[in-house]
Amino acid sequence: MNALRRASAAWRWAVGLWLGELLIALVGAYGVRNHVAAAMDEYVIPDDHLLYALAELVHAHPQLTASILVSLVTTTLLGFVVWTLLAPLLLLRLGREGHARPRGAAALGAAWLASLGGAVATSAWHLALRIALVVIASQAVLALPGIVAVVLGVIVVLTLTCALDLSRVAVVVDGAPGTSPRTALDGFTALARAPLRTAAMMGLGALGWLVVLAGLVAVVRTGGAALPLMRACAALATFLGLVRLAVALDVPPWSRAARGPGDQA
Amino acid sequence: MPLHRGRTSPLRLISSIIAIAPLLACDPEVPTPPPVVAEPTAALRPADIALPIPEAARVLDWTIDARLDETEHRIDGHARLRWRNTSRVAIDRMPFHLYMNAFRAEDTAWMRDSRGEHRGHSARERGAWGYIDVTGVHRRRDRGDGREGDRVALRHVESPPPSSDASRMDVELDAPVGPGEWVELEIDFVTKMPEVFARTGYAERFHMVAQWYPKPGVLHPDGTWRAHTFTFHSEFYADFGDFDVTLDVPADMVVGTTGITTATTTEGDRRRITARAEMVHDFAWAADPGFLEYTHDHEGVKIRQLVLPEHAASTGAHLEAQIAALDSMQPRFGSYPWSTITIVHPPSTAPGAGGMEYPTLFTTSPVYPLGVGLRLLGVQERVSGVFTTVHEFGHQYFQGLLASDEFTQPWLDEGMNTMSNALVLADQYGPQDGDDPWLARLGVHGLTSRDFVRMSQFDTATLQQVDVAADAFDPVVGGFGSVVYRKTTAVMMTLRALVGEEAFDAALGSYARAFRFAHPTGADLELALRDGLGDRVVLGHAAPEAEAGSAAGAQPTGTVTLDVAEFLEQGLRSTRVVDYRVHAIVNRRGQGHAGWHRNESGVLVGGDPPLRDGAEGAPAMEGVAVIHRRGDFIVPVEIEVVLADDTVVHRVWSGRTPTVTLQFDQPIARVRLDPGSKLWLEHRRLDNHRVAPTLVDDDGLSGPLGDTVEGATIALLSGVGP
Repeated sequence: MNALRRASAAWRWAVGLWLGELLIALVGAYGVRNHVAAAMDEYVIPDDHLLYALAELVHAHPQLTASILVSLVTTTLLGFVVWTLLAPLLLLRLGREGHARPRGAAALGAAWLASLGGAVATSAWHLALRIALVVIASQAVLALPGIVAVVLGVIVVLTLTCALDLSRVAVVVDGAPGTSPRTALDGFTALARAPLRTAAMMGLGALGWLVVLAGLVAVVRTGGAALPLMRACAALATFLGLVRLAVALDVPPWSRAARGPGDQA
Repeated sequence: MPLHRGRTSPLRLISSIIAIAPLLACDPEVPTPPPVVAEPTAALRPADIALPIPEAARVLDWTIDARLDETEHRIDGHARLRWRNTSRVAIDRMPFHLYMNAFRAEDTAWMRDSRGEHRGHSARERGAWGYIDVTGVHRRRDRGDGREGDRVALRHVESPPPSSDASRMDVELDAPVGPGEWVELEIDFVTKMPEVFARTGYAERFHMVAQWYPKPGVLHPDGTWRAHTFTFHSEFYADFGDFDVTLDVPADMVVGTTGITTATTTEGDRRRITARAEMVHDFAWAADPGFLEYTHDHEGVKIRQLVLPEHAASTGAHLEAQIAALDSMQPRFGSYPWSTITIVHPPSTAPGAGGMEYPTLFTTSPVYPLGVGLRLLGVQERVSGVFTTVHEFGHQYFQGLLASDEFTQPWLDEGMNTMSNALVLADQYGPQDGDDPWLARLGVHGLTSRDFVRMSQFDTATLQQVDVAADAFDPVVGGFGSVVYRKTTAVMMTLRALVGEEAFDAALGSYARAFRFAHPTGADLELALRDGLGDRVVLGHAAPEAEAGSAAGAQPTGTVTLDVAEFLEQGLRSTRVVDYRVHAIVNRRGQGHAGWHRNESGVLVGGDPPLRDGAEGAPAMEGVAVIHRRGDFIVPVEIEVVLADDTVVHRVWSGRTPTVTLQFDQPIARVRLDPGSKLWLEHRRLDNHRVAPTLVDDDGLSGPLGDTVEGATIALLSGVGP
């Protein structure tokens, strides 16, 4: 409940993050919209056979496929970079229960800049770990029957996500050295040390994905008509993500390299 | 054959989705086979249903004894063939097809064309060759007293000129066979099955035994033989007759054959199965010890499915499709005359055997259950499996009953059958959301038969004409499927939409009933259509609303008719493309009367300055629409014009000039060509609907696509974000 309260208190940050997401998505899709509109000129699809019209358009303008892919990849990469940079700031803003957190924009900014390098470094270690583990796990998971593979795959990725959260907390709040691969690895051991909070984090993560997946399904099924619902789902998912981070912050310090709680404050 | 693989990316995309579907699927349960329906006692349905059967169509009478060595995948056969000379001339030579020799070596005509590849399956992955070796041909002399006469050995020549291909054999008769006379031959042969990658062969213990015995060519009334060299696209052509076939197989084999089973006896580890088929032009059979048997009686037709447990879950879907096909095609094309239809589901180790038609028996393909992920996204499809069943059953009419020459005019069976499949779907599902039933669906948006047919025309519609022989299609060039199957469908469905469904269906039904148990040609079909529809069909008045006030002044005028022969000529024997485009919408100031004019006395009078637009007395705005026939296929097209006051005007344009200009005394809001989507032949349709430049709002595509991409981006950002 403490995590929920702190996340609720940071609602402006959640809204800001959400709007940022929407802005990136809007800008990313703008190119696609423009591309299609230019190709259509003054014409309108002649009937409601949307999939056929799309097939005809892609056949006539095959570069549209590249345009869509480039849009999706660049916006995702942009989102990844932005979130890597903003994650420490958000952790500092949420703070650990019962511990002081930077007050005022200047203090917050200074603490953020101080922890940014380490946070980016541990994120990089996690990225490498994530790639390695996903490659290894996919070999094993894909050999399993359909639904089991999906569930196991989700658990693997959720584990990676939560471990990253904990490593970031260790760097930003507890002062662990982000450049050390041990800090990244300790994120995984911390998951095992706090099983209840781990379960809460994974549950929140899964719920967030479920919400986003529901929105995505609605968008695909309706041919884009459910975009407002997708936006609403993203808002909820963002908030759930904040709660997950707040829970991660409440996991007691574990890293051998950490300076101890509150040292950053 | 099933709908031929296209080369267009949307089709490939859909195929890919279907292909990966099994990866996400759970293992379905095997339904318990229902009690077996009793075997019919006659191969044909009662006379009042099967008739009319012209006696002249009965040319062959086969008795075949065959033994399967399942270890060697070898069949030792002895055939007695009675054949009747239906021509006007005496015959001293009989050509035979040895189709199985297509798989004998790399240098056969079929293998040269295919390079060992067929529908994505490769001989190189399979390995074993197949062949048929005729070891003896004898003529059985008739003593005239009812007793068998002498056996006279006949010379038979494999690979006769000019093609010198092993898929052909000539038998030289010791004495001519006169018009109307019968000759009886005894043929001994050995058939070695290939490991199946193209229709026929074996995979482990599964045997699909087709094109396995020597088949005589077809003698035309003028005494010329039709006996083509077997090439990649050529398929088959044969006369009607009766078959009594005894198969000696391992005792544990479950066997399905053309026709009915009349007796089964088991001795030791062997089983003898006797089958009879009447008025068919081929005999095929399948055997596997693991076959489960699902039977059903539908209005006196025994539907028998032979399937391994791995595909048994889809037998219900196939049965539904089979019944839908029967219920659609019988009223349209006449009764199904045979008492059985056997659906063979090849095992997953023998996909190359799937999707092929034989009389009263066909092979289908699996229904791929869609995985949770695809179903969640709203993906649905009616393509895999069940469409194969509809298509292959359709061949019972288009080639089984209307036994056209598949080599000379492949469009007459494959194309007309594919067209009839679209009708089966329409009959089965009816209009859905006011549209054709969908074949595949993503959420609320579907792809219909019309869409699939149009997509197949993207790249390959102009590679070849429809009405050419099968070997005019070079496998390297491609286009056989797009042109023969789907362009034919587009031609016929366009004609049907233009002239009216009722008239077209009646004309096609007349053709189907007139040529049952016969060898119709394309000319027969075209003549039947012209007879049924008339040479010229009135499609509408060019300017019916021209007198109705606001649309006055438009061109063209007069009645627009469709010349059926000209349409078919373009559709079947040219590579012309239907493509119309709204070239321009111009809303401009009307012509005023200001200025200097000479009066009756020749004196310049007036000189009033032109009035500003909108001023009292100023000329009203007028609208001009320019339609361009960009394609070279001339066919009338409907034009829908929406004027600024929301008046909707419909016109029909003959398309005989490169452009037509329509003029209205008020601005035009939008112009749409072919609003009823009748032109299945037109695949470039994004330029069919244009709005006035000042009224451009939503193009209908950038919004949905942009929104979907935006939604997907948000989902991805949520994935990498908090």
